[in-house]
Amino acid sequence: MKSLKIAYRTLKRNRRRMILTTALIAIGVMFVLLFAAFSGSFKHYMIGQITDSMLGHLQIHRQGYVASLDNMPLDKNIPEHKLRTIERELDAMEGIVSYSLRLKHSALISNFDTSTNLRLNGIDPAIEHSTLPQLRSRIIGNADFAHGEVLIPDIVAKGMNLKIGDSVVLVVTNNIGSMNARTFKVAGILQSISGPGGRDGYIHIDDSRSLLRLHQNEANEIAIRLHDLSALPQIRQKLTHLLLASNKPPLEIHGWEELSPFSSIAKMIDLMSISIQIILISIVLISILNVMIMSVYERIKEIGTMSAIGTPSSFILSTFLFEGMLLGIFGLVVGTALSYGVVYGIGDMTIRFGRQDDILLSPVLACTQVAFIGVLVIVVSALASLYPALKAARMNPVDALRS
Amino acid sequence: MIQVVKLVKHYQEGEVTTPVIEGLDLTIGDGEFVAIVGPSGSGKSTLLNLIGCLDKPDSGEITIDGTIVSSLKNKEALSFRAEHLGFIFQDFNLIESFTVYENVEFPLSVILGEKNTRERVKEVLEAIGMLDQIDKYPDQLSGGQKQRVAVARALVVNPRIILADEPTANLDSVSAKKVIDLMKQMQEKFNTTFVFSTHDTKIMTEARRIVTLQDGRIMDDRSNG
Ligand SMILES: Nc1ncnc2c1ncn2[C@@H]1O[C@H](COP(=O)(O)OP(=O)(O)OP(=O)(O)O)[C@@H](O)[C@H]1O
Ligand SMILES: [Mg+2]
Repeated sequence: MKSLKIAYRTLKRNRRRMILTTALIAIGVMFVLLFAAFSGSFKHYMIGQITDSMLGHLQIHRQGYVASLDNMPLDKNIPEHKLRTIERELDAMEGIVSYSLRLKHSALISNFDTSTNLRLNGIDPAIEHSTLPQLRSRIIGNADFAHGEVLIPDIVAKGMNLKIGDSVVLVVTNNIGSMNARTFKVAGILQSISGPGGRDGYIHIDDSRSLLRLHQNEANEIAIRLHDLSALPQIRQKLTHLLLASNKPPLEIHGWEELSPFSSIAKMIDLMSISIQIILISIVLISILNVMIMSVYERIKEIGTMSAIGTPSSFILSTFLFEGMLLGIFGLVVGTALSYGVVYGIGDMTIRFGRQDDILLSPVLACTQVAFIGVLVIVVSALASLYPALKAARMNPVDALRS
Repeated sequence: MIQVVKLVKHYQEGEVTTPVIEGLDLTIGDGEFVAIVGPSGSGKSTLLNLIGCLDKPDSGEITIDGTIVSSLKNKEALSFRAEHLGFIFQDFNLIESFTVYENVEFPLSVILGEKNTRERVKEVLEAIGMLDQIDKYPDQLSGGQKQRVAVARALVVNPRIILADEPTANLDSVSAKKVIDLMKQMQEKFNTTFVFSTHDTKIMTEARRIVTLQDGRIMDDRSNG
């Protein structure tokens, strides 16, 4: 441990150099950790909102439905007998909290004055809420609406000047072109969120079926909530295996990532996170390499002397390795401490993103992330010091002493 | 005892070969106090490096106490140096981040891996008269004091031979004299062989034997007083 002592004391002797390098590495570490903390909580919030108040984790449709979702097709409903088989499978499957049958269709909404087009989800409110636990938080008014009531998105409410309790007429055309209309009471107003379905209205699925004059209990979407989001790939595979085996009619299964454009934003955030980590690696590598080459150069005579008097090269090697690694560790410790300080200092904050102006971020530093960055910085510091340290350890004492 | 037989050393730099030592014979007995002198470039440092197993001759043989050191492999040379030789350099070359005590302890604890070093380190520091400075760092010492610490560092492992290349060249004449006197005392006290090189005529007269090099050969070898 004498080599560690030399390493530490050498750093202390070159205080300014140590402070500069430590500060540089600390800033890099802070960048990585803070970006991870904030982007992580943003992602977590957005994904939570998308999966918990809109899409669910997984969705089952008849094949081709998602591709033509913009037209709200009515010829791609899942027939009742098929729904029963799916329900049986889902009920028997482990890892599923709840699933909700939906009948999506478009409608004309009119307040006897103006009218506009609206996309509606016919659902059973109780089941929908257990599948989308955060849906309630988007609703102003009665989230547990009854037959004959409608939840309308806030933009429609604003555009048509509708308030809770107002009466509206919903006009629906079914897939053979026959129209049907009924008066509904506005039970609540839904806050819009970004993504498909983020500006849909809700009515009871029984009302949808009667408006569309369906004689069977059909649905065109099944939204599924899982106990554990990380089990999505396995459950999806199991479902695919079970449901796609019998193809009358063929079905399709999608995870939330395929249904929401946010998943590409999430991927971009991950990519940025990796880029920042690469920048951190370069900062650590270059600054430590630079300092250590300088340190070796300045102490050529000391190295030559040590080697002349018989010091094993492993000792010289470890002296310089420790010196570089200590720099990395100091930077790491300072950067991590400051990151925790910033994260706790800021606490929760709300930001705007797109149309949403009340995204609540509660950044946290994940232990695994901190540990990963810790290992990364230490390994890179060791690698950066390795070349100068080897140079020192292999130095010929005669040449070193002559210089 | 050091026996140097038909020693040849050339330096090759690109196309140019510089002959430095050309067939040198020299024998130094135990406990001698020898100065190697000669004009600049005459090969004093080269000879000391060869005797000190820091470099290898092109031909010829160096034997120290029965070991043919000129044919030792690098690793063997390293441990031979650690166990049997002491070195003193022109610019002291103490470990700057170690105290006087730690510098002197270094060869014992780090290189030879000895555990109970305190007594020996104190004994040597007392012998060189630096016991009151043991917690100072090299940059808090004068040149003469640093060189005395370097003498202590060389002595601490109780080597048979101490090699010193221009140990006084960076010192004023008073400190230089003190260092040489110290080396002499130590030679008497521990019966260690001292071989040092110097330019300084005053210093060389302190030696009991003066070997003069010229053009890679011994031009003169005489005992002194
Ligand atoms: N590593 C080397 N590579 C090439 N030439 C060298 C090397 N070491 C020494 N020489 C040359 O060998 C000759 C002898 O050098 P050496 O250092 O032994 O002389 P010296 O007597 O110690 O001189 P000084 O009194 O200046 O210290 C010089 O011409 C020097 O240039
Ligand atoms: Mg010389």
